[in-house]
Amino acid sequence: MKKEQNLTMVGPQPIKDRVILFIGAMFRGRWFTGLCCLAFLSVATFMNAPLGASDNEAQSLKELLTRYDTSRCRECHEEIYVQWEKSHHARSIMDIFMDGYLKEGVLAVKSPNEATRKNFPCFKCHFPQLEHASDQVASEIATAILNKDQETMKKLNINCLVCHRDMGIVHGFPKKDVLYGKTDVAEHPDDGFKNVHKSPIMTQSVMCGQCHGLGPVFDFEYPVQCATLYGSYLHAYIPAGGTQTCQECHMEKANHTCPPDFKDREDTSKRLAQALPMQVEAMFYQPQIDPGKLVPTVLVETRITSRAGHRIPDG
Amino acid sequence: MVLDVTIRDEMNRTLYAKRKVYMPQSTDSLGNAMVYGPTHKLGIVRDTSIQPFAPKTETFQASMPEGIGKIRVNVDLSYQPRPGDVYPIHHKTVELDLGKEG
Repeated sequence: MKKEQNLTMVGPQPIKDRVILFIGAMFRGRWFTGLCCLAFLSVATFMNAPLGASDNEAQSLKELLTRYDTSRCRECHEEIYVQWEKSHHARSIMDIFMDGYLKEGVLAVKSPNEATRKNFPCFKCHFPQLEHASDQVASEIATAILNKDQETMKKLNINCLVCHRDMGIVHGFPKKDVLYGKTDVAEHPDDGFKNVHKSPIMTQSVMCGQCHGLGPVFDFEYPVQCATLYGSYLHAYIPAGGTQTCQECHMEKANHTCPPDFKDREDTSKRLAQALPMQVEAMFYQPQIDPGKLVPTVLVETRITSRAGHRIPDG
Repeated sequence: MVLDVTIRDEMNRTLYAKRKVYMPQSTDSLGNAMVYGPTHKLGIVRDTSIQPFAPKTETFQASMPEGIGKIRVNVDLSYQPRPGDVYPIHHKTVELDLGKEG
């Protein structure tokens, strides 16, 4: 995951900038202006507290979740937010059996207190916010997972800020107080994110490919291999003449449920049937390979065609 | 992805059953045994999954016992991410009367 230094600072103006402004005013002898700045600094810092303005790693899970709180996005983007709530992105660690990995294998810990960010390579994609947190937060997450604390685990997800800020661009680093979308928005009515810039990758497969995998991930002490889907898209679908993007099939009309939803079993079966048409033919005949010996034989021919943009199955 | 082909007679006795599994297969790159799970898998060594624009064609040839009359060929394609976790995709049936066809 790409990051800019101080990426987690989402307040409209960094505290240090305000301090510099204050000191600068003091040195120039503009005492009244300086005092006004000091008053503004105090009030603004207090008012922006829920946005989590901080240059540092989050020291607690609560602090991290506050910085990445997207509940206010719902006020204006209700339909999209409700769609997202039904998506796998909204429960990105609920179904990955992380407790098993913490109990046995190379990521196992004797106690959740031992857990550090190194125990969560899966979170590079399943909860990338952890990159902006301390090992203490990793320990809190381990506690929640091992205690099967569903309420806490539900809060660990791929939310609006992950895709529309942290992962929103790949050419250069995302700016701390900017959101990224399909188009520029001149005045975004939010206290923290007043700017929405057009991201050139928002409608392209590379956007999804940041997480939906090229193959083995060697970034960690022990490598992991989860999704290899984007690799298949690049090296099988595109060379075979494919032209569609991930979003055209999985975010049709900007649908943020991003199907398939494997919990909706009926719809998943339906989508797979559409993606994989199957023809069957059968015949009966009596070959005579050995002269004089007829063998009653049934011949069944099956043909499965793939309309998908990647291998199936994959993730 | 699992493709099951089954042939049964009128008494519902199984005369033929064959299964094909389509999936990428990985080892841990420490040995040659296939493994499951993201913390174990490292590199795909064989891939029988269904590829884009690459039809998967199979031929199943089943010898039948003498004197069989009507048979039913069932072909089922399903997604089975874990044992017992089955998402049906296609179920097709072809009926043949071997007595008449012969």
